[in-house]
Amino acid sequence: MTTPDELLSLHGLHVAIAGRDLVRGVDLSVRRGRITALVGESGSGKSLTAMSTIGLQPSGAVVTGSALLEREELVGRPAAQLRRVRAARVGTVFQEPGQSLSPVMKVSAVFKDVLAVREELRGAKRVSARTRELLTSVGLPDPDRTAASYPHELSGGELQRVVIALALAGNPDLLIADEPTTALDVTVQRGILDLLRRIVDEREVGVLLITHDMGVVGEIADEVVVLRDGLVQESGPVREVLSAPESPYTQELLSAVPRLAETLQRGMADGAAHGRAVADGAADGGGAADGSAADGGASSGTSPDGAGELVVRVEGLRVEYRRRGGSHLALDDVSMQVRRGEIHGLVGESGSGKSTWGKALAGLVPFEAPVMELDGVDPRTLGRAARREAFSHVGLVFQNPASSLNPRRTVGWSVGEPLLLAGEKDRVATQRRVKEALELVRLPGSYVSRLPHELSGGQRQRV
Amino acid sequence: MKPALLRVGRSLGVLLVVLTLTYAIFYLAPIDPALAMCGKPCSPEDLEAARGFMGFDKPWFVQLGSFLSAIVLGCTYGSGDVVLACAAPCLGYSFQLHQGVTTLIGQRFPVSFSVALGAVALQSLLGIASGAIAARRQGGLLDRIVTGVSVIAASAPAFVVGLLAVVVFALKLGWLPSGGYVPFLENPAQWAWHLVLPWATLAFLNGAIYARLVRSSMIEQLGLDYARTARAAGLTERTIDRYALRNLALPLVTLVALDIGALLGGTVITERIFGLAGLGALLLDATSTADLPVIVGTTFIGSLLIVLANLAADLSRPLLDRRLAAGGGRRARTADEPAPDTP
Repeated sequence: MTTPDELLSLHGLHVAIAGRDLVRGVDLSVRRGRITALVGESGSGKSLTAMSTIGLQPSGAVVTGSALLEREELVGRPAAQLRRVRAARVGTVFQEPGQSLSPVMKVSAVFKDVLAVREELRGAKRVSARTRELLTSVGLPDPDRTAASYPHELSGGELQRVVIALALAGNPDLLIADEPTTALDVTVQRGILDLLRRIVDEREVGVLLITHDMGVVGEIADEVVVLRDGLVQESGPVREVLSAPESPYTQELLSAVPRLAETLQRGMADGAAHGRAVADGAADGGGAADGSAADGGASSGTSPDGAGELVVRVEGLRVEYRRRGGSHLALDDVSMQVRRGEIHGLVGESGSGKSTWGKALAGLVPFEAPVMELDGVDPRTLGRAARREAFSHVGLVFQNPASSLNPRRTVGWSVGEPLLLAGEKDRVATQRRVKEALELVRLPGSYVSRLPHELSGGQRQRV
Repeated sequence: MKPALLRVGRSLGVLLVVLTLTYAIFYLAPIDPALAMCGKPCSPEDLEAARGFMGFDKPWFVQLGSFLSAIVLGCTYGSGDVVLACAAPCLGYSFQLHQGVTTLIGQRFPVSFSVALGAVALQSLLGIASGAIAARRQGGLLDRIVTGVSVIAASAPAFVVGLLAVVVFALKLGWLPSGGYVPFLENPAQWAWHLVLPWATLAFLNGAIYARLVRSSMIEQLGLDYARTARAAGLTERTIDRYALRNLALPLVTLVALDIGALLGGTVITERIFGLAGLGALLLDATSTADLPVIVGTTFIGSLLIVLANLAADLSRPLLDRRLAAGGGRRARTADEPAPDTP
């Protein structure tokens, strides 16, 4: 099984935390110039597998089995030696580029420390030359500006490139990429994936790519290992696994990948208006930052049978964020109608104003609009209490389920509070409606007494 | 720099409010400052004359106004042949001590300054170091010692700790002088030697807050993504500690500034225990003899120092965290808030 170009090979890697076996005997190998994808849903143990390999398992974790980096055993090595292995041979890229760098340090300061350890490079001139070289190599057009920036001054895509450049310092043999594109916009993802592929081809490094996205796997990986509950379900070359998955779990994962063409076809065949995603032209508010008017209002997808009462009707919606030293026009002249029972997709890049639109509807940001009706009533014409009541009919689901709930309150409290605010007085009725709401999103009613951290990400989003 | 100007303006406003409240003591306190000066026996005419001389016969807002103008322009008490001049910056005149309040404060300030400087240096050093060590050994013996000691220190009254220190280290063991002050210019070594106990006492009491803040924030920082990225890149734990502490600079600077401001204004209990003639002792003496001009003057200086320290901390915030500068006073987004532009 061992081939000459095999870089990393795990044999029966086992990780237990507090007596619970979270990774149960994983075998996988990464070859030079190849990308091995480790796939699985959240909680399957994929990140833990990768982190344990390089000695970054959480404290208290017991790692057994074998992890060979070119015949060099990593399991059981003391922390100081593992640190040296990481510095010399492994580069790591994580999921959240926005949080991967210390917020109070310039990019150049991080490079100074990293280059000192990974390349034993010292002296301001040499360090800045090498920093420039690395930043250029990951496709950053203005490396000097990037190096002189603080993390908050860079976009997610730029930051992820910076993190990749840091990982490439010291010319590592192995690159571990833990969900490197998950937190990024689709358009930015593309560029990062291309960059990873290019790095692999040019530098002959091996990549262990951790992802839950089968689409990403199909695009750039060479080999794939499917993990579930710490057990390998299936492994092999990407083409084989994706085209003829043996394990039912892999089949399930693959069917979870939304296929645009298929969905559209199905939608046409059904001809049903309900549950259909209508891709509206999104307002391009990105260019509005410099004051130019955003073009193209989002037009309503008309329902074929015209049924369903109008829930939302907005015309010429305009939102401007004012702050000291200038204002930012987030939405300009956007119109939309939503009928009961319809799902509308509002599509656009980050910064295009999608969220602002939603917040305006929920009354969370001040807005101007000639026409704005919720259930046929303009909330602005109502009094204070009635206005809040009208806005409370708009329910929002945000991106990050982990931070959308109050960590110290039970699920039941979080779901029930809006009901109380909306004027529901009867406690028993509130409790009944909370349970109904939970069952509607397919969570057991007993979850009312759970705290957010006791739920998985998926369950939290259902809440 | 509009926000900076706004902050300066706000600080001046706070000062004015504090001063007005302190000045109200003159009217609310059941003391007549003129009575002490009047002499015995005190005839009503003499009392009136004394009041007129001291300026206490005017309405309160006139007095507050002349107090303020005296700071800038100086003032004179009385008229005719008996005139007392108080040069700017005049903070009033103590008719009991027969000295200008400014002069009194000027005499006492070096003592309070010496105490404050050493105490703040010692307490931040000890507090930050022990907090960082405790965070690194979370749950270990050292951590438990630091946490335990800091609970005691944070809840112990200053006079107990101070008196214990005097009894043990000065009287029983005889290692250190029990009190007194030697001017720095006279003998720097003796200056420091006499201040070791007050410094240590204050550092013990205040350092506990630093230790607890640093411990909990360090634990939080070391668990953040940037620390993991640094670790994965092979940086040493020492470098990662440095990153974490750098991220704590903001709350720490605020805390240090407040402590400097508070200590410069004098420490009543510590100065009394160690026989130091600082601003705190001046205030205490003035309170017991009802020397109102001195009370108002020292309170004013004390609040001025706190306001100035606060202002300095506020103005340095954008330098320590560039996110605060970028937002033009708007709070920077913290790690777990969703970005405003994502769906």
